[in-house]
Amino acid sequence: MAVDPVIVDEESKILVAPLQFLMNWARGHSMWPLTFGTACCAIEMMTVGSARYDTERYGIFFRNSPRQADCMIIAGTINLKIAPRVKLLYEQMSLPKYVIAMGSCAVSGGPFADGYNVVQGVDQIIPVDIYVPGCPPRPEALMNALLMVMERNSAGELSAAEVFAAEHRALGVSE
Amino acid sequence: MAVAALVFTGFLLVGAALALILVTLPRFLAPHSHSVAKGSSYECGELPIGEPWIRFHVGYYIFAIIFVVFDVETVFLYPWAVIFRQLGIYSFVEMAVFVGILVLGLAYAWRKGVLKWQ
Amino acid sequence: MTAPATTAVNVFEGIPGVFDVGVLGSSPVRIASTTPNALRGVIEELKVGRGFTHLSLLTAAERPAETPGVKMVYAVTRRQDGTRVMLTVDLPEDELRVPTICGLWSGAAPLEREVFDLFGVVFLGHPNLRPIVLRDDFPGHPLRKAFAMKPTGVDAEDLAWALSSHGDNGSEPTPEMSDPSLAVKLPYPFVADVMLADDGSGLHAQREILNMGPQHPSMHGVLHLWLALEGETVIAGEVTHGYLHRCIEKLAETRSYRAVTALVDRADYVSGFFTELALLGGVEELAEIEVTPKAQYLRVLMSELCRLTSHTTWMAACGIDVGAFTPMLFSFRDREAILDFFEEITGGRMMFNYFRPGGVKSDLPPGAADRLRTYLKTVDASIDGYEALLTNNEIFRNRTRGIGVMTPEVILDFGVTGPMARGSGVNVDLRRDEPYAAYGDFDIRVPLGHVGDTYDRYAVRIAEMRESARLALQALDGMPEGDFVTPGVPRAVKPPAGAAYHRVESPRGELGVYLESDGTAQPWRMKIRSPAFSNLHVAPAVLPGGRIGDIIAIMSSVDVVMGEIDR
Repeated sequence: MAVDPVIVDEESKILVAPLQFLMNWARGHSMWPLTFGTACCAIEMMTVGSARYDTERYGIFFRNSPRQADCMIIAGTINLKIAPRVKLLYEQMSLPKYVIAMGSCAVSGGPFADGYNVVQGVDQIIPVDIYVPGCPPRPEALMNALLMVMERNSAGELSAAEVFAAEHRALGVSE
Repeated sequence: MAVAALVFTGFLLVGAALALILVTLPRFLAPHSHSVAKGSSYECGELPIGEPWIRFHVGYYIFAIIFVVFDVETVFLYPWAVIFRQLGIYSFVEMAVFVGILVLGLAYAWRKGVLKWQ
Repeated sequence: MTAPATTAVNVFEGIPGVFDVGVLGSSPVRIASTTPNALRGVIEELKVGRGFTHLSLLTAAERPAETPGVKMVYAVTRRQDGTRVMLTVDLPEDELRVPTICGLWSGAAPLEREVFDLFGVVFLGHPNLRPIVLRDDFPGHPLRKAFAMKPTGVDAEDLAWALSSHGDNGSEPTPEMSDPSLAVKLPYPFVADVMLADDGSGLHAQREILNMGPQHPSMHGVLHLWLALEGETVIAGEVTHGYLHRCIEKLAETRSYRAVTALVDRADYVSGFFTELALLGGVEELAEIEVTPKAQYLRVLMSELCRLTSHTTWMAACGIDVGAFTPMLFSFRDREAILDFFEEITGGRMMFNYFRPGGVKSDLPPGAADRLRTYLKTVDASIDGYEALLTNNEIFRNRTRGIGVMTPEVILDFGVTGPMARGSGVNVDLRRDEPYAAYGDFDIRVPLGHVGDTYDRYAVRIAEMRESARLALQALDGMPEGDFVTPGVPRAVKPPAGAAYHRVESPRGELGVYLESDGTAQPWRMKIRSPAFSNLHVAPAVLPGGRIGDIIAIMSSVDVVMGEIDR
């Protein structure tokens, strides 16, 4: 994985432990995903946002710019042409950022895994937090994944991005 | 009258203080991180082509100026509308003159075709 | 609607350079061969002299191992009487060059780019011969049989190379100008030319290039528009796609027909039944498998329900693109109701794998027909609700009336079909003109627009939704008894060697599958003629002169599904 790890180079100056609970609660309950629907799973992602499954009641509001997004739902197949764009968009997001790999194609390449142009899973490119199998996964499965991400965020657990950055720092790899 | 002045000053102070606090607080509370890619400009995942410092279309400027003018006019209208009843007919005529001058400007801009994007 | 077989060979009479005239298998398609040098003359005579104004298919296939090389395949249609003609040009391995025909149809230009990309055939005189579905720096031509896919697909070093750069979507084209008389100028400007023409002097706004890139708010999937802008006005626009190229056509060559049916569901993912139907139509034609009457009606029922789901998805996107978020909520309510039926009948919400050679996988579950009937009777009222939100909405009308006008000449020039063509008044509907499945028993009313702007395309699709509900009800009422699949069809179908080109009317237009079989259980070549591909490439001709806001409205009326465009 050749992603820019985005090391946090300055912790906050004031002790925020008493506020940390509040900050985590706020972050967890306003999870804004970046719309990155590539293929068929994007339609199921739209369905999750529609009235029957309704993500907005959880504070999940789809944003189009990575600057304003907390999490990136990779919905669909990733191929060699779009791989550098995925990487760039991921790097343009700010920490804390989560990644949900939705659908078999994003998890492992799916039905197209032996194609000459298909990347076998988006975790070859960026660190992934939650994998949602299915072709396409039911909207309830994606909803479950989003709730899991929200719980992780509220609990203050490190996202895969932060874990990856910490490993990078531990290995002594410079930016 | 003194109460009103007090309320007004209080409003000013609280507003200014809130603005200052909201801007400076993240400097202390939030973590900071930089990376090359994070600082790059966003263009739907593509790399931008060409310089952003080009000569922009003058229509954008004109739209913005007209918007600012009428926005400020609205700012003046609001407090007048709140205490309109107590002020009487004199203030109505005065405000009508003010709005009339601005409407003349709008009519001029309209005739000049500025409101349509050429 | 089809001319009798006795006049089969008369279509080519008097055209020099045509040989091997015949009929394509058991279909009414006339087929002939020609040489690369004679190709332009033959096609021009067919188009101009004999009225074959619609370019239906432009593709290539590998020739058999005994005669190495590539075979070009062109299919044209004469709409007045429905005559269909297919031309093949055999190219030897050492001379993979053929003159371009994009002087006759501008819509041939992107199709030829695709053949160049995947097969390596050079089109002499093409003004913009660049790869279209693969990265510009992709090594090799994947659809050649000599290009073997690795068993592990893409490996780590390929991925590292791919991530190292964005590819070079603005690379120089490789025009072959060896014969200047073959050069073609397309009727729309290119972004690079337009930018070069602006020397930056004077007081007008400078031109800039903007990427409306693969990731953007409008719901069109991974589509990339290159725009040359002057302020808010678009001077030139180019379409780049290929961000969803999933090697479906190459993978089909390694899978059995049943697996390919499951695979092509994912091409046009919003309406999977149509690709299945086109594919199986070809298989059934080659293997001469009869489809039972009940299955024909079930196919019609499923297709019309699928058209409803596709149009409701389109309507959601259409509303959001012009800023109306509410229609999405209501149209997805209807879509969910139909998806529940799909799940009950076929087992899948979106990926069905329901059609089989000779019929369908299973019958309607008990009670489903009645519940479906009850539901379908409410669709008209729901559509009235959508119309109340959008049709007479002044904001919607201002955004769509007079925007993106496409004349019938533009429609024919680019090979546009479906609601886009009907919105401009071109009266073509394959369900009525070339009935397949059980459509011959139905009376299909085809809505037509007359201006050809975005609003007309919207109105045509709304009318089609009503018509689909009506047709589905008729299919339920008229469904015959009997088997849902022809007994005795083997699990692994091995159609005899030959070719077939079966077309259906999908929600986006003419969807065809060109199938070549070599007698084995895997296809030799499967090409999906994607309607959205041809529809999308009308954008460079329509976008210039409009503003950025208009682009979104126009692209939403094109109704693209990137899965079938990129395959």
